[in-house]
Amino acid sequence: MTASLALLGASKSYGGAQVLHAVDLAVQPGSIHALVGENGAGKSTALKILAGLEQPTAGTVTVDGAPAVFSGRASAIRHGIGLVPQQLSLIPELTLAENLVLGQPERLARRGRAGRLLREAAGSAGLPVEPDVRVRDLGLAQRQLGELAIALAQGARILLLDEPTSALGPFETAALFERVRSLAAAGYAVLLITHRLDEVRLVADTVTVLSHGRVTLSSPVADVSDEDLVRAMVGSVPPVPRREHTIAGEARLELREASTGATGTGIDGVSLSVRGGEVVGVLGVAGNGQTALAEAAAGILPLRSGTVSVDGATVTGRPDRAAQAGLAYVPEVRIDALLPDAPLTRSAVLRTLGLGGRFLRRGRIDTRAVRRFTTELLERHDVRPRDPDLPARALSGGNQQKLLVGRELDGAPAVAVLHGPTQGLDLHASAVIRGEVRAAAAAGTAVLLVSADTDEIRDLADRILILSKGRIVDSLDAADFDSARIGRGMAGLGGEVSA
Amino acid sequence: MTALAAWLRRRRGPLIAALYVVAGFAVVFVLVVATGGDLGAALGGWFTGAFGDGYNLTQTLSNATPLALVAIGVSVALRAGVVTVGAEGQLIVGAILSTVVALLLGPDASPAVALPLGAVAGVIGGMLWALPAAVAKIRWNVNEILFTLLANYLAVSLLTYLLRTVLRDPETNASPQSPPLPLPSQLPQLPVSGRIHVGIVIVALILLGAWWWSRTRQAFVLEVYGSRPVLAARLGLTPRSAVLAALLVSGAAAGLAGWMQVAGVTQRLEPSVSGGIGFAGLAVAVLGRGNPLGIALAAIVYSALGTGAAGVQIATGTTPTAIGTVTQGILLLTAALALAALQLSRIEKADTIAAKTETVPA
Repeated sequence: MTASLALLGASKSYGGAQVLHAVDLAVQPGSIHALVGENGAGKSTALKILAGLEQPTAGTVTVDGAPAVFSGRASAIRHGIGLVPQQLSLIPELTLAENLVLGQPERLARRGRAGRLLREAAGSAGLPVEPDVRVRDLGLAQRQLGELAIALAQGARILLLDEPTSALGPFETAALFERVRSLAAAGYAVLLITHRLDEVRLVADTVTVLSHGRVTLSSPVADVSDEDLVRAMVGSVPPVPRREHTIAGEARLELREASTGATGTGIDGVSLSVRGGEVVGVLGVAGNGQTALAEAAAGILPLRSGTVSVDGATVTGRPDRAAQAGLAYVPEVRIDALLPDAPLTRSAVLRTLGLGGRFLRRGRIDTRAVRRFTTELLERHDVRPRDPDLPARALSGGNQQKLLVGRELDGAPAVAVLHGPTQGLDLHASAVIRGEVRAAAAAGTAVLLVSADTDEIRDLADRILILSKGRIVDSLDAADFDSARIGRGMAGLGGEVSA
Repeated sequence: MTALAAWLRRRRGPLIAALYVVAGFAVVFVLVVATGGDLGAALGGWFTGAFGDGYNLTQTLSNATPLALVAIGVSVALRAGVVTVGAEGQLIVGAILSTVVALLLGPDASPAVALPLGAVAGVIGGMLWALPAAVAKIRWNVNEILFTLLANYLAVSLLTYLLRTVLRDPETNASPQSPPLPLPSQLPQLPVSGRIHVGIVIVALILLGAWWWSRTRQAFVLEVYGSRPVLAARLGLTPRSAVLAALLVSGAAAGLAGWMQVAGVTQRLEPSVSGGIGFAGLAVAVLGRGNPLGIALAAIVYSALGTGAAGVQIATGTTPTAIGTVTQGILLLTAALALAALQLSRIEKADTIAAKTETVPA
């Protein structure tokens, strides 16, 4: 069978660095091909070449067996290649139909026609999209389907999905995959970029593993074991230590009847407490108040009623007091916690500068001490490139996350509020970070872990709370992990409890 | 050839910046030549006019003094991402208040009392004029650029009104101006040839202080506020205090400059007391990139362009002094473009590094 889209011996270099080495990859019509690899393995570069955003330095791209040279994204679209990027590219102020018009002004200048086209494309693929609702009023999952529908309306027969589930909860993920599977069944060729092996298992027919820019494995999914895949990706993954210490500490983080004013995405009467050494995981479908909960716990979001305290000190709505009481916070959007254009030496000390006179000398910042600390932090957390003078913007997402988690967990904080600390990270990097979270807990830190990643919660949490529509609807011990019960809770079917 | 191309590509930012600077010079030269001037004569004339003898040199430094002072204040605000264009009005109100204090103290006060009081009055005047903008921004999120800009017009009107009423000099009826400041309230001149008041020493000390401060935790946190207010809040700086500090400090500096102009240069309050110093100070702050040494240099260059223009006219005979103002404008334009080019190339470079280590979404 002729592959719909293929890379033949594709190489790519940026300046002196070669990021792809003669990569072969073939996506067959009517099937789902997964491209997996760690951060930095070359997935995104391969994707950019396939989508027409980059040219390979050597090698060719073929469409339906014929060599094709893309002069840009538009030319790839003409070849029938649709792209759903990881960070969605829709303009929030416009409707889906208007976004489609924006994409190709030469063919459809009219909104009505665009809407009809979208509806037709979406209808034939069974995608539930609303072409005339403004994108910002759509949920994340709906936007993703919208991007998919736009790609189809543009005439795509080949779909490139870049980490489509990174911001979705389990239900949205399942729904998305169901759609993708039916598209494949209808004859579309799908390339799924991911670093999650469970997704590969769940949805893909064939898989190609990239490691350091080379193909290390390429096979039908049914013929390989998980161990094979992991080995192909990373060689070996450091194990996350299980908890060995006993949780004997006092409650260090306490929320009492915390409610935010905002409706919809706020929290409503949340009470919870986390003891020193304990990791409490909060699980829920994205958009059920996770962000509000994390921000409230970190003292950033003011509450309409209720209190937040760290080691007995009230920190409600007072981020400065929270920091002084020893609260560490990793927000959902990592770049918000870093200074994108300042040298890393600045981003590295953002939590601790001046706490107890740290990094200060005669009233001024001790730049040498700061530099020493930064260099050490970069080394300890394997942040690359290891140059303290680079701006944070020069780090890839995974490296930014390593730096951020390293900074926040440095020096045994009293409480750590972590929102999706390993989102978007590869197996190796997430294992390292999970190990650090464990180590912090072992050193007496109370950890509140908010995440949409069931595996992460299962890996780390001693106790699991289920958040649905801003309320805690279930609470269970990690030992009693029960997928059905958790699924019920996340779907909002569980009974209400106080944790 | 490819190596050269690659080198050029890598250095694109600095090269483009240099190109802007060259283009800026070219425009000035074209203007000089077009008005019948000789390039060499014009340059020589400019140098003599700006630095040639004691009088010209002190004139340049004396004009640079309030520019540097205003720029220091503005740069503190810019650090926090607060853009204030109100130095003009704040300077005027500072000048008014210090004039009032000087006139009230009269000729019998001791200079040891009159001078500090005048300075404090200037500072208070400047802060007073900046305060409403801060309050409006904090309470109702009113844009500080708009507010401070409009407050300037109000200050000018206030000055004109006062000079025609309560502050009018009874001795002269023709021009609206205040009576001369009593002697104890006048800033003494430095014992050098030419005319320069001791204010320049004060400004030099303030520049030194600003350099010291720029590496304190406070300065760092204020800068963090500029791009990440939530992080600054964690470090103990609330939006309220950040905006208040930014606007009050810049107001205080402008007000102090107002006092210096009245007490050291004109020795009386005139309608032209600000003379565009407020806006030029903003330009100097941008040119100096918030760095005290950079500000000092930028202030001298900017002021030299103005004072040297007379020398250009004398030397060429045909090029008008307006060439100074034109050059100041071109300097600003090229500097803004060059700085933007450098910044863009820095961002681009950082993004390339990030792309090399991957995971940049398409």
